[in-house]
Amino acid sequence: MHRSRVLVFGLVAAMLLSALAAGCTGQKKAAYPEKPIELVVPYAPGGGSDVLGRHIADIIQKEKILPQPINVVNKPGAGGQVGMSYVNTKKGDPYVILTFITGQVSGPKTVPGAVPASVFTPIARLALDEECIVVKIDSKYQTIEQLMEAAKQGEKAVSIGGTAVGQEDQMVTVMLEQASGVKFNYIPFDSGGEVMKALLGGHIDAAWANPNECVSQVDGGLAKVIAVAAPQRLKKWPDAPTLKEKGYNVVFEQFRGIVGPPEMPQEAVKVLAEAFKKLSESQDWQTRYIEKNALTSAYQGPEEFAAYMKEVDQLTTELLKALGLIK
Amino acid sequence: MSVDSVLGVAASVGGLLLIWQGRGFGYWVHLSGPGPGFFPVVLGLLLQPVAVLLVVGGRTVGEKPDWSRSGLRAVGAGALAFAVTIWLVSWLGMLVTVGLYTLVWLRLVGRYAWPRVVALAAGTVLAVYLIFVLWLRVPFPTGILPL
Amino acid sequence: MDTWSYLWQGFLSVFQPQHLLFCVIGVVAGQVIGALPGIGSVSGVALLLPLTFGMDPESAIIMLTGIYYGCMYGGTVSAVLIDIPGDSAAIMTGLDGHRLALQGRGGQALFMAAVGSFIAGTFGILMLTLFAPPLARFGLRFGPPETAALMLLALTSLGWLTGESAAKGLLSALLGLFLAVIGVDSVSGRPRFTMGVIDLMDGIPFLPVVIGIFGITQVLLWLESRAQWKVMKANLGLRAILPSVQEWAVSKWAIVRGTIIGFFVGLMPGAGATTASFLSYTIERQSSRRAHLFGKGAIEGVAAPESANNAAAIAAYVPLLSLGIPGSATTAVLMGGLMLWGLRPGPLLFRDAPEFVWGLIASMYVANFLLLAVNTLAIPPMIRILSIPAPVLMAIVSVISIVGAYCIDNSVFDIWLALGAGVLGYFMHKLKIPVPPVVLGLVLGPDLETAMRQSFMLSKGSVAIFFTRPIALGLLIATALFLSAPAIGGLLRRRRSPSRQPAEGQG
Repeated sequence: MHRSRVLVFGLVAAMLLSALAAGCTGQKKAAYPEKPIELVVPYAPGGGSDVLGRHIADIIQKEKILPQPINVVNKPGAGGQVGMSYVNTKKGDPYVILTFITGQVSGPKTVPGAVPASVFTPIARLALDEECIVVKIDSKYQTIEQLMEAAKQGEKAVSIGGTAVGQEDQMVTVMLEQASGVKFNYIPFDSGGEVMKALLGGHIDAAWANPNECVSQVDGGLAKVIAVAAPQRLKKWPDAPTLKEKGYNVVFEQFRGIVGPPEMPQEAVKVLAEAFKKLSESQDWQTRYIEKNALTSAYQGPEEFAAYMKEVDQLTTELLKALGLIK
Repeated sequence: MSVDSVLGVAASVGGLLLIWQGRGFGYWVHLSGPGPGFFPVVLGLLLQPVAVLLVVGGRTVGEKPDWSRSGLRAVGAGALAFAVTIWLVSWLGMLVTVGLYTLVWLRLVGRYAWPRVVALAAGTVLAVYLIFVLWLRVPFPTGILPL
Repeated sequence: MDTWSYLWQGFLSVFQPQHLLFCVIGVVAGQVIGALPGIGSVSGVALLLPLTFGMDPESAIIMLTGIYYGCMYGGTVSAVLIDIPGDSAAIMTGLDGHRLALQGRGGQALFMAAVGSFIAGTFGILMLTLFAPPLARFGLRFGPPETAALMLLALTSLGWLTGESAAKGLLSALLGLFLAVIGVDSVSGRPRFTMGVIDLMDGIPFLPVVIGIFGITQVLLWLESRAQWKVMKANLGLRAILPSVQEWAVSKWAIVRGTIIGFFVGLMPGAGATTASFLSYTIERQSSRRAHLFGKGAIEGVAAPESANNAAAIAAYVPLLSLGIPGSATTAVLMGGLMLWGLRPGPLLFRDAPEFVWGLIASMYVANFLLLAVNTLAIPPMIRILSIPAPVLMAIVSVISIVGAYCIDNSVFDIWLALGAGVLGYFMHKLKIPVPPVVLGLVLGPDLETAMRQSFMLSKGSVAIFFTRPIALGLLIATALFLSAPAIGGLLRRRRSPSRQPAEGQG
């Protein structure tokens, strides 16, 4: 008993000392970053943003792109709002960054008192996730023409599943409705997995899915992509036409990028943007993240990304108005 | 009135509030069935017979919970201690707060001698540190101290 | 190569010394983390996932399987010993398990849980090995209407849990369902009862509530009573924890039924393991001749839900491996982990990386076996938790409740929620309102509402969708039977054995 107590005290003392020591060495003026960077993922582990965050942390460390590691911290909740308001409190802190997707631009608009996307400091856009229309392999709608034809038969004649309300899948549905004049029966599910399950079970006629949400079912011969809402056909599935070439002017992409807290120091933004550029050009990133998740690699630096976010902001505002979710 | 009857009346009032609020949310939507208010309204309706059962049952049973003044005071103090602790977590950081809580608890509630209290509290903090910080890398709030 | 030779290859891989070591580490780590109150399989796996980063994929998946398994077993330990379920699937285990522990038979309860879990796990893995594709196709037949009907069936069996007063049980369940409504409506996007609090938008998460209503409530109740633990000094030898012949006899069929119910409920989407444990407990209680002992320390009340939740946890792998769709929240986290190695679970994986899939399945057999060993051998030392002096144990419970509630989502708000739930739990205890229904209402409510409204959207507002689909109709008929059964059963029991009433009072 006595011995173990001494041991415990010894350990605590050692911990305190090492903490002090760490504090002292931190005083030296060194180049940014001089300590680990916290990468906040405002969604739960296992989701798309989490997979992005983990790949960033892993590859930046392996390829020694930055002298300090990046630590992924999940702060899920309220469609990203919990993590966003956390980072919003870290004004000017160069050691906190945040994964950012289209839903984090549109989401706050529908929530009174939420932190809007515009307060954050854009650092880099990394990838685009396309929206695909998927049907079951033996569906009676084998082409987008057949699906649209059936949808014209009446209000809500065709059911189309997607993830959540007021998010990308529903917004692109509205775009297609505006472009074609039909009304779909949009059914929201809690996750991409549930959408695919309902589709494969034949409970819904079609579904919106990002390539990474449907790649294993499509490549596994269970489902089929009949159209994409991208500017051009996907490298992955060159047989699937774009909605644009079928006469519907619908282009909608979900972006994945990184932002910093408000008033983040310029030199930190510069260093990080450069690091993400290197990351995005690395072989490991291109094969292990981009290809495996069927994404489109689309790096943009801070200025371009800021301009791009503004466009997304305008487009999503219009779509949410059309959905009646904002006035 | 017995406690159960009070509970019943409260349940009924709560149910009516749910119905009122639920109707405001939208009860039924054309071509898509139940709206956001459907569930609250149904819950509010279901609460009514339950409330009646409680009031009727309460009249015959009329049993009082075994509340004592000293017991309630202890529970109040315990809940307050939790609240203060949670509030302190953001200020002092998780590890320091947990250590303080254990110290105070063991001294005031356990009435152990100081050496034992300190050893146990230090052990708790160390265990939390080893498991959650070192091993699981949980990002605890650090507060004003570097721990 | 056929299934068996692939599986043989898988075993060869798992039995490589370093792989076996990772399996053991994973199993023990999972067991320890899973046993911490409130940190059940979802957050346990999420927390331990980073440990496997930097390993080669095969070692990593073997360790992850060990972790997954360990967390499932671990949740039982805290439920039985200190009445704080590790996760929602262990709530039913705690009802009788903790009573048994207080009667000095905690060892037997844990032993039976380990054996039940082992049998259920083995059955589940065999089914997974042999029939994954057809089982996955069966699971797909469960669309929104079937899910809604299943949830309704689970909820109506709440009636069996009500304890002394049916009205109070119903009140508790309705309270849980109300708490489940709070947050942004997942179908229309409209916030309900959030009072402008952003943290409430996603609804009330059930893990902090479980921690609060079981952990913090217990601390508060103890502060009031200052009771010492009234545990009979249990003999700590391994032989002394073996269940008696009679306990085996009553648990045998409970394990079999729990396994089968658990596996098939687990194939369906939604709150798999929780619903499974819940249904199997109520069915066990209904079919038992010792129904009066349930809730007072019936060992089959531990055996059935434990078998069910383990079988369901394995069943969640069926859609993951054969369709690439995670069958539960925990498998969703696992899938995210696998994707870090560029491994995408799904139909193609069997073709592209068979050694990996079969290594995974083989490691499940091994992990299951290791856990049986760990859980039986470790019972004696674990029982010692009960001999920690009450003030110290309560301090530990408080600390773990605070830390555990924070860890789930790294959120201080969740600790506040846990405290709120703790205070609520205290008053519920004082007013003799049963606690399990409120938690189960909270767990099942969101799935019930979402599935029901999705069904109506599919049918464009027509109720017919529930009556024209055979599975949904069957489940609704079962629900109706369940609803009317208490009345019929009550009448029968009163006529059959009036002499049994006094025995109930003693237990």
